[in-house]
Amino acid sequence: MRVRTWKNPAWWFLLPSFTGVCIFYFIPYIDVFRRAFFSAAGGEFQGLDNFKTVLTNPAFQLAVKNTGLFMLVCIPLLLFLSLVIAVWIYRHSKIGNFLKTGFLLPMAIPVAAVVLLWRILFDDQGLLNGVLDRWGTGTCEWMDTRWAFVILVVSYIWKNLGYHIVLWLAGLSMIPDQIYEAAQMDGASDRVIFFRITLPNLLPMLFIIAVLALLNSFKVFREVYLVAGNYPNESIYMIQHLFNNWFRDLALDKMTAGAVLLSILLILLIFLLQKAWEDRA
Amino acid sequence: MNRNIMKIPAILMCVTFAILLCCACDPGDQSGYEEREISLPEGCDSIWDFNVADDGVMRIAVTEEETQKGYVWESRNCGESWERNWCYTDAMHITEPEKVDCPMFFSAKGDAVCTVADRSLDESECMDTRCFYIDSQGNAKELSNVMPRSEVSEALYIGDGFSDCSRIIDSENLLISNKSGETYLLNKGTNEITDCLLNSKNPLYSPEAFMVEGDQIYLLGVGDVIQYNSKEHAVEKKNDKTLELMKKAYVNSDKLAVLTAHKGDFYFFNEDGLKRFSDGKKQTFISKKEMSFVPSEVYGQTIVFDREEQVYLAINREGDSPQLFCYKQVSNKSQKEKKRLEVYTLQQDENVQKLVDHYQKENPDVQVDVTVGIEENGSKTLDDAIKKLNAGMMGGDGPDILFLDGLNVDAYVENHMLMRLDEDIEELHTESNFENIIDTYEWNGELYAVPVRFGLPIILSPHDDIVNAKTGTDFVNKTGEHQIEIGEYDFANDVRFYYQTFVDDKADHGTIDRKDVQEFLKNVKRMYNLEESQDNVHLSQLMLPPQQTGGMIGSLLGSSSLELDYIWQPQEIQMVQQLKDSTYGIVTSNQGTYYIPRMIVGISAATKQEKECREFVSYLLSRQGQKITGEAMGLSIDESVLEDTLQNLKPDQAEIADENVSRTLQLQELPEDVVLDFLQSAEDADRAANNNGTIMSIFMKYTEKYLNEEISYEKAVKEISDRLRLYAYE
Repeated sequence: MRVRTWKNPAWWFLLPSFTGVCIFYFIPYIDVFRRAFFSAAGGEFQGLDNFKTVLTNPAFQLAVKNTGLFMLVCIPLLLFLSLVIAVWIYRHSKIGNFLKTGFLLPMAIPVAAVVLLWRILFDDQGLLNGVLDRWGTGTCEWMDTRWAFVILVVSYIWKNLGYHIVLWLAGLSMIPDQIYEAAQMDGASDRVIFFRITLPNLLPMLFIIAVLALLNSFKVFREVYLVAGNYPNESIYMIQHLFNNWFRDLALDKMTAGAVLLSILLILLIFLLQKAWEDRA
Repeated sequence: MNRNIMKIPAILMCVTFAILLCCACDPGDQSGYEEREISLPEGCDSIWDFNVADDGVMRIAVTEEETQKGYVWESRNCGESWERNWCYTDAMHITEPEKVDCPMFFSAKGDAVCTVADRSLDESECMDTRCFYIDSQGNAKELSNVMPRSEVSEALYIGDGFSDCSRIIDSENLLISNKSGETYLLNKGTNEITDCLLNSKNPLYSPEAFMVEGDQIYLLGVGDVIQYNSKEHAVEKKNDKTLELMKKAYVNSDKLAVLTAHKGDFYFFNEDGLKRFSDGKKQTFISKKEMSFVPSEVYGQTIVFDREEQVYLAINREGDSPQLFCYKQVSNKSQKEKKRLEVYTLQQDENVQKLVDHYQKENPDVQVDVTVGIEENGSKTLDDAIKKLNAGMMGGDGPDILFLDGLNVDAYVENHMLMRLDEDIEELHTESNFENIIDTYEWNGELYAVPVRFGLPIILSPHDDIVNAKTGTDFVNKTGEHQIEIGEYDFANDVRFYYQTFVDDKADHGTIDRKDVQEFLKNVKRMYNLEESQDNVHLSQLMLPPQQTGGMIGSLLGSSSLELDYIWQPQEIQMVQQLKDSTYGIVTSNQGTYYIPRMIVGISAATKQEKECREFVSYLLSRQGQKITGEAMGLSIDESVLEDTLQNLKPDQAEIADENVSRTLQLQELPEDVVLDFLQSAEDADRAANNNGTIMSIFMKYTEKYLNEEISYEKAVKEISDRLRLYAYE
């Protein structure tokens, strides 16, 4: 018997959060979308001019380039490393549980403490330079050179590795043991088991983990901002820096156009990921 | 079954809304205080102490204006009439009362202790302070100074004589301290020291930083805060959290605060009103809004509680009669609902506070709250504060009135966040206004923000070529040629001055290039080479606009032959006239003659109190508002008000000091031609100095690193240029 939609309790449970999402996300997004076509001063209709201005803005280009590069480097690296460690932990459950906690610890460290750690380590007069100086190899201005990008990547991976390991472990635990036992009885090697059984069975999890990694990659801005301020080294000047500075200077037209472009790009990325996942499935 | 399940989200939503509703309906403080002024005996010049005895008899020690003699008056009818009791200056055989100050402190029984201090500014001519015990009949007995020689360090040493403050503790003991702050109990009968409360290792922060309540003496020492039991002759408690908090407030007060203890809590009056410190927390006890006077303009003398828990506050005023107020607790429910205005200022600004306080007194039916973007504890950066303000304004929850100093005025105007001012505010069209300054923020012929004060950057030097320098390089070249030494304490301010005058204009218009950055760094380095100490410099904390006068004082003392400064106060023109060998000039670069707009006021376009906001701005621009003068108010934008102020400056004396020397400076009336010249200069100023703190912070961060040799010159140029390029792209 078909239950009428409004009588389905699921809708009622969804209602509170859906109301919040509408008030805090959908409606503001529609307003942002509308504003992207108007000038901040005077409110005249601009057509696509704001988008042209943003796309030709060298600061926007630099920020998009850096953010894109960061994602391209970080996300595959993070997914690969976390998968390898997760599989190892899964196979060595005794020491694995202890290590799992260790990998999760960076997530529990507050941003302020991470920032302090960065400063202690990477300051011109910091710990790392102190060690290099003692070895006589010469010091480096870590945060004011291209090294800043490397530090950012390492920091992002260090902080998010544990979380992604846990996600992979959840995926691994969902693979039935019988499949492994059957493969072992058929004489399959560890390598074959991994590539033929583990990996294909983890694919459904890959989509979720990739989307989460993508969204988490935006959060690294907090650390960069607190360490290097609103104008860091050009190699770590991210899209959030630009939005942050536009908001400070009330460049609302550019900001809304940039936000619309970014959201379209993200939606497109997620859509492509989903499509790839569905095709595989 | 389904119906029951559906109830759960409904209940959850109801609970959420109920919580939100409770948060929104904060009942707040329901009670307040009602002020009543108690008339004082006629002809009072200043109050020294006030007391209400257990039987309700009021006693007050005042100086008579005409004779400068000190009298004790009594009132048995709550201050309705006063009866003159005895003359304490006569009792102490003081023949020239006009030459001394006589701080006096009553006990609950009516006897008193009094210190007699010389009033002369010149310390070399000062007599040692004397201390007297006066019984309730007016018989005085001089106490000899038996305090051991002060053993405080050289940095803390002020003197061995009696400090201005002492108290009667019980029938036998007095609390006394020396000028350096070491504190003792003295037996008034035997004139012997009976105990040392705070020694040379931990003297009083200031000799007035103590309170007495019954057997308990509370002392704020340099190291510890101490609660001492005078009966047991022992320290009862050390470093009490509440007292520590109070000490912090005491040390940070602009004016010497008045303290008292009552029923184990502490009460404190300073420029912020009357506060209570209780259970480790600081609370507003009687707010400034409940006072008919502006606390920052008076000197609190005494806080007293009577048996009915009424609070008495005795205040003195510079050049005006003292006043005594009684505050009685009333329910706020009976009070009329007030309109509320929120005024925003990026940095703590005592001038804004003073203007708001005056407006509040004139308009008691409007409550004006001042919100400060960057609090003094420094937990918020400039960027954070601006973003918070922007978010509030865009969300319709911003302040009603903004003082835009340090903010990007153009951005607020272009985004229609400010209301147009020139249509409804008549005071903007007053003929005597300096039009060049009023129109600073004109946008398409419309005014959305207006500076209500201004300042002029000046260069003082005996060398005309330095004063008349038109470019930064020219200025530094001439300074170098004359081998002028830049003061250690002035250096940071001088760098900001140089930046604001010769660099900021280009930076703000996005026309600055790598060559300009190189020139700036080279010139600042040359200035640094002229700086006397060559110690590490701290530039990254500098803010725009400059808040106060830099170092003109040093030049007047003759310790430097170059000062970069600002004229914010009319009296500074009097001071400049004292320069015998130096000339001064308002900074003029190739772009024009500079002025600094101050207290740039605008009304939020989203305000719901439009009428009150316009009235507030009208008040600031009115003759009355413009006449409110303060310590560092800035110059009036109304030429006639400024002219009146300049012409009415009286001969005066100012005590001036730099880090090494201090002396008294005699100020003279300004000749007519000086006044007219100055007004003409103000009229000719045609270039508003920018207040863009964002670009300056980029410059200062890397200039500091370069001067402190943390990075090379090339690196500094690259880092600044890269960031300026990004800023320009944005």
